[in-house]
Amino acid sequence: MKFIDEYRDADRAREYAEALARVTTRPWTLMEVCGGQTHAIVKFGIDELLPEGVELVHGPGCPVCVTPIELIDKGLEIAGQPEVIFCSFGDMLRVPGSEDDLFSVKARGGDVRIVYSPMDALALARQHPDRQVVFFAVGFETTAPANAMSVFQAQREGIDNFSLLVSHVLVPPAIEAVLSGEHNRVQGFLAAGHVCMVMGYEEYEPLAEKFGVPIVVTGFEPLDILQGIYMCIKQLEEGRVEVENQYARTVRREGNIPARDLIGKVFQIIPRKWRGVGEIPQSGLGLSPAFAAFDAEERFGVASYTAEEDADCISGLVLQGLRKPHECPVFGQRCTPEQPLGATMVSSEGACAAYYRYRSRQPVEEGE
Amino acid sequence: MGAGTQTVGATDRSPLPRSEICNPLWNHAAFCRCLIHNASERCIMCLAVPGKLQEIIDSGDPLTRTGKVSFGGIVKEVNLAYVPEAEVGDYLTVHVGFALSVVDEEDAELVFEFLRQEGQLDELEEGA
Repeated sequence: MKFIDEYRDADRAREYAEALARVTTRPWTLMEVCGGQTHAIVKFGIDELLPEGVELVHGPGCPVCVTPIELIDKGLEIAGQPEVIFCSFGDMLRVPGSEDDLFSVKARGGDVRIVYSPMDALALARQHPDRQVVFFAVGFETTAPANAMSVFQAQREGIDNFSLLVSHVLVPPAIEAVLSGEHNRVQGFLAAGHVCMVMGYEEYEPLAEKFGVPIVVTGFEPLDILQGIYMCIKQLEEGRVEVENQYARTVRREGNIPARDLIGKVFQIIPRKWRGVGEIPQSGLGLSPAFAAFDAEERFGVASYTAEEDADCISGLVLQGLRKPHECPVFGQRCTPEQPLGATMVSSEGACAAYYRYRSRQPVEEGE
Repeated sequence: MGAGTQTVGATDRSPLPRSEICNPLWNHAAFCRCLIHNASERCIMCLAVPGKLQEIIDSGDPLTRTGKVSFGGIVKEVNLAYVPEAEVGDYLTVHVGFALSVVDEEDAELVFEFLRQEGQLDELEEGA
């Protein structure tokens, strides 16, 4: 496929690896923010092509992974209602809530459906005016334009049996939280290309300046990631701190203006709790007052739910880049994709699932 | 990586048969392990796929303007509300049913030109 296959060329990847070895004179620690990049890195073995001392730590950019457990519980409660058709992207179905997951609700007779787009959920609401159709709106900025459009059209058409359970999170506040952390060791970032496709990268410029870290907007194919790493290390080696755009074929500095406009109408920035991390100020999106009628939390009276996470799961540390998945004592043992303790093992984008699928399944032995 | 290998992936320990190919937009590990993009493990929420716009279906309403987009031969209807500038023949980056960017074909070459440019710069620096 055009714009995919040529970015996986092994010879060109080796050229990048050689170039990286030439420009790197000391150890550097970079973070790739997006879980999609984490998977490409682990799958294609990109980390194994890097010069010794260059480490990639995997960031919090997996929306399924960072959705707090109480939001899962809210979804479970709503999905169990007889009048509800609960729609979600497939990944959310296996994420454990406090006691259950959406698959179990479905097995007990709940009408839980996997959709490809929130517009499919809106179409279901049109077809079933006697049912309540709820879409589990999980995601980073990339997914916000689609979710915003579904609510905007619902309001325009007067479809009042449609609502969103919103769990939207934003990348820049997560980067700020990582950099502000007491144990932070990240020196440069690969920013998530598809998030920037929507939002642009102007908002990363003050972050790079404030914390003195280079940020390179990076795509998702192996050559994209290798080029992003090269650009980031080149900046570090030369003592530059800039926001650069590796993914120029898709990302413009201002992002997608019509999409940003509609997101600004439908959503507002609010504090959000991140699973395993805690609350980050101004780190998410909620429905704006003009669209509050489409908020499933209010419609189904679940806004006040709270819940605690499994004590053995270190997904919070993994999400902050402080631990690697295989450093967890229950990794691959008590916690597997079939029986996950935390969302990083559930999501196809989660770092634990990536390590489980592509790497050794043994946890690190004591003293190693 | 053998000499004939086209792609980088040496560490995938669970290749799937191509018979499992299905909707390329729904290449989700747990549900549909599509190998068209060899991207089955990627999350739908950050995955955006480039496809070629073949036809615009103008509904008269900019919000519901759609187009037929081909992803390696599989054609899907895609909402074009966010790419009013898109024309037939353009490659669009599509995410959960919405086109969010028109691929810049000149910039698409940069990743291949980059090292050569870097090399030239280095040589210039050395020569100076």
